[in-house]
Amino acid sequence: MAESVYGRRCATQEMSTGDLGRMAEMERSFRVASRFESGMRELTIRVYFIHITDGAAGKISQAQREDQIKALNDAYRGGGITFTYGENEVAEVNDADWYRMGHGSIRERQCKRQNQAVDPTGGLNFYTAAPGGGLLGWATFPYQMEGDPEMDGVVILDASLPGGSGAPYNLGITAVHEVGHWLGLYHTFQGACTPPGDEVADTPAHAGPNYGKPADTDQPHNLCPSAPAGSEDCPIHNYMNYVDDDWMTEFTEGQIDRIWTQTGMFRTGLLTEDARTEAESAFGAAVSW
Amino acid sequence: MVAVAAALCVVLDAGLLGAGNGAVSPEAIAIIGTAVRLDAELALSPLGQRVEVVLEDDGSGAAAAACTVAEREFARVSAARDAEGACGPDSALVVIARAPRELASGAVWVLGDAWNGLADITDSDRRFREVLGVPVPRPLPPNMITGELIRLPAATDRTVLLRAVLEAERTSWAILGGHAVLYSESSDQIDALLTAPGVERLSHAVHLTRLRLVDVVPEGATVLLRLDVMILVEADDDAAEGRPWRKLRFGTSR
Repeated sequence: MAESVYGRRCATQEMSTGDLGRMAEMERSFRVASRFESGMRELTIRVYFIHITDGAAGKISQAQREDQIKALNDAYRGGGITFTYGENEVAEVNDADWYRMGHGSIRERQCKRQNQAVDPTGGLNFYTAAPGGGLLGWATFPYQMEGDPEMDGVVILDASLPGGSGAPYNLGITAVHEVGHWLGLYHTFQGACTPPGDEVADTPAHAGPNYGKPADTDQPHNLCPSAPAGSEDCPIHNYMNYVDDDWMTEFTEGQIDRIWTQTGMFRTGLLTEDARTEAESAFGAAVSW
Repeated sequence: MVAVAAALCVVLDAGLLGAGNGAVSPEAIAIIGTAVRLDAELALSPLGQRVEVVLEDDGSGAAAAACTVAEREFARVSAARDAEGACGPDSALVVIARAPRELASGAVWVLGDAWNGLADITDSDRRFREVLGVPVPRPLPPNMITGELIRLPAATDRTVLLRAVLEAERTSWAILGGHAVLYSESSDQIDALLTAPGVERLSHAVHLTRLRLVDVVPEGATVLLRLDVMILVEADDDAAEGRPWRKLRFGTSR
């Protein structure tokens, strides 16, 4: 096993593989050490669309891109995060094999290696394709970026962009969900009912994904018996569940906290200079146990 | 507690591994296949994570049969509690079993326990990825996914069926009236199986959640296979007649 596979900015201590298992502990230390809670929570993420196509299949219009950015902004605005993009930065790659790349496949790695649009420390590589296998999309996590930068980003089913053919998953919320992973969030059902779950305190654990439009009147659905007292509802409207696009409406405060902590620890290149200085100092303190 | 780990060590409990008379269970083979595919995927990454498979060998022959199906040797231990020694030092240990059992360290996932175990074999890929902290691809809901359905000759060797389950996610079969009916979402796998004599395609696109074995065809259902005393149909989502595929899977109905 290579040491420091989840390697860290060279000026600070490196994380070993075992340290990843102590993520929650490290996050707590980071929060204590940082002053990230206040006015520093303003962040603009530049999105670089890379549309993989097979001839006419997979083409995405400017209106779809604009609507996708709007969907992201509507979802993340409350957390102080804004997304932008430029039409002159959009890439279209016509390749039938890459268009159908499987998750985790050699094709995916080849495609990303040759078509990454931005250094992942400074922006979001947003690939669209038609991976098949009944997949809507996937994303890498922040702590993977430094060790495997060429794979960083999100891959989204083209039909799931706003106006696409993938109803009920065509309102652009698949991208909101996957960008949530890219910013450090797990599914609300991560680990089923076994701690530490998604490592977010205000998303009650539930046994597995919810699909469709589960009724509010049928709560608690698959809420874990071990959920903390006061947790009466399964998070059926959370962006990090698997429900239909029009059923996803919320991130919790705890999830926004985790996004900022993960960004401060692993995606500091996205931050303003002041926030980056603060984050790097706090991260140094957090890992120096 | 299982936190995000550098490596995952999946131990197949002897009770899950065996299917009686020294045979290996298809559920165990499906989980092994998932682990092996994920390990191969992780090998493409410089992050160095991996999945190990360890079989609990009770001397019944099931562990050896699993190795035969997979055409590779897996580490074997005489009891799951010895597995820690068989796994790497950075590995998160998960024992998958049919019934609860005690373990000095690591986690026990009971198959069928949606709360603290593994709700179904089809959840193993997601749960393994969660332990490793690697990307989890988001699938469509089960009721929107389609696969292909074929019928194989009655004399088809069980190893052929097991190997199909090993090779592709969510492949499953049922023996119905002496015929092996196999569902797969891998077109490559179906194409390969169709080259054998006597194999017949029943459907190019069928919803697994709608497959039912019935006595009388429900209104609006599509007949896929008519046997002497039973009929395999694709019915509406809310059909209640007969037995659904999840109760037929890997079983025999005469």
